[in-house]
Amino acid sequence: MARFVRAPGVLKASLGEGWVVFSSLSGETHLVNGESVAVLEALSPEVPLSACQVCETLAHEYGLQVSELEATLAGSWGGLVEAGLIRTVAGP
Amino acid sequence: MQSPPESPSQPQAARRKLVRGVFAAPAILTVCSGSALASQSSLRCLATHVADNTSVTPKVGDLDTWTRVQLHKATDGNYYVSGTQLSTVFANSGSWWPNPGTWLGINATTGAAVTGTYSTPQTIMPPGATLAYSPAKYVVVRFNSTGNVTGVGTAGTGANVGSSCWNSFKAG
Repeated sequence: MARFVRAPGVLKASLGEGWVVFSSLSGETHLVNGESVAVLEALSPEVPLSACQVCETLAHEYGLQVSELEATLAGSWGGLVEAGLIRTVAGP
Repeated sequence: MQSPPESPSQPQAARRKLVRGVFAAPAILTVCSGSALASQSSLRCLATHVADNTSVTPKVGDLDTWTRVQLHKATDGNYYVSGTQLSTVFANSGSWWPNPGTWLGINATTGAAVTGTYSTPQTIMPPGATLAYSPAKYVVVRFNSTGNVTGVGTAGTGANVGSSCWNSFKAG
């Protein structure tokens, strides 16, 4: 099962209804929604978490079913990795 | 006496924006670098003008390519290309070609040769001609597969850069 950490050097700032984040990994700046930032905040740069663990944290905070959140986020992990905002951690 | 409450941290501020019971899929829109886009636009524009024959003078051959040299600026406020500088890399024998020791006046806005004395290469150095000025201005130099220059600015053969993209090119 893939585990994720927040990429080092990610900076964020509120911009209107959304957020602007900068990744020092990709050197790119992104406009993101609050849900993206919530995922980033649920992750730490040091402790890898599985997608399931992140969904459990967020589901608890937002009063949602874990399975519902897993389905919502299922297609988003790759985009967050490509944007340089999170990293996949290999290993058990 | 109570200490003031801690100001909300960024995570708290971020999460307050989301409504409980609703969680949309993360959306990411990458912001493109303005300078990179400008560079792409400039290069695309240049390639178009060099590849087609809709702008100026004869079409450049498929093997022709281009570079640029910085124009010297003189105290008369005009810009000049140095034949000595060009000849360190390129060669040509055309009448428009500024041989070593000669100077050709270039309109830094259009890339055309200036009118007047320096409309053809002159051996007299323009007064105070220097490369130490800002912002630097350049002239496009077209050359073929044998290394011979086919044109400088609008002089010589080959399409010159159109006026619409000359502004972005000269600032490079």
